[in-house]
Amino acid sequence: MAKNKITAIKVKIKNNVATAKMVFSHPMMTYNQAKSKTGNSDDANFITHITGKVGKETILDISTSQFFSKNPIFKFKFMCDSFNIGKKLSGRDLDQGITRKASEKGDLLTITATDRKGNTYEKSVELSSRKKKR
Amino acid sequence: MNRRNFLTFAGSAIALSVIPMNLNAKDYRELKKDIWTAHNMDDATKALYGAKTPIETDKIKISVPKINSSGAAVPVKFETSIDAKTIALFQDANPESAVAVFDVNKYDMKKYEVKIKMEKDGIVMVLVEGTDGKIYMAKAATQVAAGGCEG
Repeated sequence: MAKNKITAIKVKIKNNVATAKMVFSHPMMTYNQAKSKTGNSDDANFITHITGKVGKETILDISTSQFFSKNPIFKFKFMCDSFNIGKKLSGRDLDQGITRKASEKGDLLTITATDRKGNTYEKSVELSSRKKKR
Repeated sequence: MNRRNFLTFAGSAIALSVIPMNLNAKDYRELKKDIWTAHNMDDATKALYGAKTPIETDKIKISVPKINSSGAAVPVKFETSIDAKTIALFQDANPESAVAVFDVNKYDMKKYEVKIKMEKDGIVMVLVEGTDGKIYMAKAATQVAAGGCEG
């Protein structure tokens, strides 16, 4: 069985609005599915809570149920004008060996998911954009 | 500032920084357990918001495909312009009706997109609890060719 995890988080930033898209790798087994597979509906396992944080600020807080699809995809938008947005380097910059200054690094968006069995999954992604912050 | 004072100050500062984080994260699975076992949308609404009657509004936009080839992953997009405290997503096709409860904060743009499971044809309902204390709702119907909850 595939390992349960947060597969990917992508963040796009435009006009101080960030769109975050995340993909989980999780069976999201409902009670009915668990019963038909193992005979015990208590084997159901699904993500029950997802939290998103930038620094100490909570930007996302959802309690979820078993009816999210298998390997769920979730997308949401949030205002990011009060956070540091890092500079994203282009391929050409990387070829020329340009590195970022410490001040050009962005804040980290951390997504934490908890499932019914009590396992937690965590993944962070940096808020960054090609364009300069206006 | 002597050393003893400094230590107590630091201790209280740590305690203060920890407590608000616990208050921030609202786990509706622990707070209101009845939502997740309610078998129809009316019961789930009552479990979450009490006896208030939801007002139908066009300020909530839901978009679901009219016909889905598979109920295993029905894409649901919804957004609202209402000043919201909480947002709930329900449907009436599955054994239990609650899908998710969102706790809205000041950074949230209140625009979400998520894939859900639907066992049969049904209605997707979005409920919004406004900061004015009223409950708003919108519904959208969708058809499912093959159910997504079994197997």
